[in-house]
Amino acid sequence: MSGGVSDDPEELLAYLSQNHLSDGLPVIPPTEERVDRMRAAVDRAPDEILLELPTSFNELTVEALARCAVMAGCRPAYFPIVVAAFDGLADWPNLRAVMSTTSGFAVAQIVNGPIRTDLDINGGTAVFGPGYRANATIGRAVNLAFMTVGELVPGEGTMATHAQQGRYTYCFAENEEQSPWDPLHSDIAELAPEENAVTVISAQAPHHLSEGNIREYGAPDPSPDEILEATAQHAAGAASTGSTHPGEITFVPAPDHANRVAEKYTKREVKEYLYEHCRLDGERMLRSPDDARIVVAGGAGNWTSIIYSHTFSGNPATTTRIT
Amino acid sequence: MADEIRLPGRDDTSASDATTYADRLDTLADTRLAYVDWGKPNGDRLYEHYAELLAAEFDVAAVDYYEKPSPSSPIPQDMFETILDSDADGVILAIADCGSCNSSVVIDAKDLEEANVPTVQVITDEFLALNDKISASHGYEHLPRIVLDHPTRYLDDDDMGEIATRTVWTVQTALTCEECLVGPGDA
Repeated sequence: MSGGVSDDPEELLAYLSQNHLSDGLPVIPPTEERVDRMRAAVDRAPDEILLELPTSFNELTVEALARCAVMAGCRPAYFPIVVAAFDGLADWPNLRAVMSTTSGFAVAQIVNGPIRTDLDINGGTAVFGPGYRANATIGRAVNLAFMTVGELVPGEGTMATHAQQGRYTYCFAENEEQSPWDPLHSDIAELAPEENAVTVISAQAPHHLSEGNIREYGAPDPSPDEILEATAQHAAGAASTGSTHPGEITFVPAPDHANRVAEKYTKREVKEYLYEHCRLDGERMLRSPDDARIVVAGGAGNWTSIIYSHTFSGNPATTTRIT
Repeated sequence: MADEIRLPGRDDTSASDATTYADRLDTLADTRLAYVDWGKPNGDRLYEHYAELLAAEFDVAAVDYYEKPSPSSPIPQDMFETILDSDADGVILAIADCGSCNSSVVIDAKDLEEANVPTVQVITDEFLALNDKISASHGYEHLPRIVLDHPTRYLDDDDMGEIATRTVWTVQTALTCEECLVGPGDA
């Protein structure tokens, strides 16, 4: 399979496209030297099987993932994050459903710890947008593994009605420096803030909201309660099939919202509020306060994003230490 | 001289250690069947029509109704054990009309067949290729299926009755005919 393929970028892209081995975008040619350098960034055997990847259930090895990481444009320093993401996914009971669903979920990776700044992983302005190599290529490496080894070919391996851009890349960092609360990996995995970790979630595209949907436009100084009320209302209003069963929701307040809310509420109290007030037809959307995953991210502005999980499939947010 | 390119490969191996299909029934007469509803629109109507027709046409003694809590996840363990404890002679799995539905219906059919309970899936045609792919990846290309035109969710009760009438003999065949366990690649 790997022999006899041109390393000319245009010819390689044509070959990959014809054989359903890419996301359609240009790739860095995965030469032997580049792949070896990528793989050397982790202390793992090349033939170690990380998991059987749906929907083909082909075996994803460290070697194959290194090839995907090269193709995606990762620096070798990013590779431990990519591997850790798949270590987390290996614990999911039903990744198969996330990949095959019509509702178009993707796997998002949330990075915590000092590695965010070491590798320039964006958690600030335009957090879900382009402009940062680490965000773009770590998430792309994950998705390329699904496309290639997992054979997530539209119409065969996946039947997402619309899918979403997160299936190209969906990696971001928490804005820990501007957060009033403990970081995600400390909150849900009890890791020290100084440790590096990546959390994987099944994720719809982010739904953005300001508090404007419950307040007159331009009204000054939204209160902590108004921000939380708007968040809970929006969570119910935008939920759709695949995420209507009770389960986890990831809330991503930007620092403005988070710090305003933190004037009155602890993180635990915010979770309890959301547990009580996020309701769909009167029924709770969260099974417990801990189903509210809170990640402070983004730049200046009064915005919160809500990321629904594929609660139908029952895969929990999973945090893995990056080594 | 170009550098050697190393692309991520595909192993083409099966995710299953072994492939085991249930023994098919000699007859549907006096059998107890289970119908597992994916909770999708018209799944309940199809059950009502099948239950009536299976009794009338084949003297089926009972068709027990179950509804999965999630169409995207396999049958929960307690429900699976309840089905087995009921001595179900065969199981109808319906209606898998979405992507994750088809990922779970293959797993449910596989697990029931391995427990020696014959199955038939009712799916919609838009998801046949995905169903084929997941079945093949588990080495279960021969799982019996009834493939309906997609979508079924907007049909009325008369339409569902017509579908049940048209396909009830296929249910009988799927649960009783050993030679009928054929896959996409079979002649």
